[in-house]
Amino acid sequence: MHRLRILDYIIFLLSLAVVTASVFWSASSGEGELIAEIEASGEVYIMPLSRDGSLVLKGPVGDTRVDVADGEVFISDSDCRDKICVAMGPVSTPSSWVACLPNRVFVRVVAGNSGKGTEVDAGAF
Amino acid sequence: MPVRSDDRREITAFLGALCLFLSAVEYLIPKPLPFLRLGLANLPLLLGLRFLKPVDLILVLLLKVIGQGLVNGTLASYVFLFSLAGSVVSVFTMSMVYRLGGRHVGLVGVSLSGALASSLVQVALAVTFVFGETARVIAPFSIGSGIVTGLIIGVFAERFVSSSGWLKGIERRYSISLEDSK
Repeated sequence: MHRLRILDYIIFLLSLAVVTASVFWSASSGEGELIAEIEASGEVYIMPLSRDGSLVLKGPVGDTRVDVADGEVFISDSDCRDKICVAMGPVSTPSSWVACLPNRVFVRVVAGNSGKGTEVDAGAF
Repeated sequence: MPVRSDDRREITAFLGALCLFLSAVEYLIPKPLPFLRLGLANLPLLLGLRFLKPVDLILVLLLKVIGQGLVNGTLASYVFLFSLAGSVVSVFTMSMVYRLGGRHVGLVGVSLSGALASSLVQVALAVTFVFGETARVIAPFSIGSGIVTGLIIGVFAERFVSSSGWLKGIERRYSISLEDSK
């Protein structure tokens, strides 16, 4: 006789609840932990993406202005010729970047807690 | 089958060997994703916790973990620690649920709770020690697949227990040999 008993059902429902919870937990990951790492003239600056702000950096051809707004980082103005950095627009995901090459400014998004913006690859399991 | 006094040790060793064999069988089954495992090797533990003494159950557990490590080639890597932690917690939870649940719980519930505990521990370990916060991404897959396989193994065990004369024989021999050693 292999009839399911009362606790079997309860444990099954509990399992479903845990899976649902884990989906939400997983979806909420990374929020607010991202930071922008900005390299300019040999210096490294850090701006959390959770807080709006701006930074003006000096480089070989003039000033580059880096802005953080709405959880995204972008170069709003630069004294370079082509303004490719401005055209690159905002970035917000780990290991994405924008750069102004003539002015030697490099902006990269990294995950705050785990140091580098590491990705899990399935092979690790 | 004559009953001998070393039946207890023999049955424990046999269940351990069964784990090793089932690990090898499982190794043959292709996995769509690396962390999706059927958990066939949990079957002897699930069957054993119904009648084994705790000491013997722990022995079977250790044999299972080592056997799996040997077959999968992960014995000397951190994956082994994941496996060990997951299995220990899983067996502990299953025993608790089985003892406390009494006749209100079947092997399906026991197996599910073990799978749940094991995958929760492994996700916790992955997040805390190895991969950092980004390991959260796999949590729903890992826990979800653990529950599905726990369910399958549980249903199979429930059917097997109710219909296997072989298992009844084993249980009888084991309990007689326990009586003998007193």
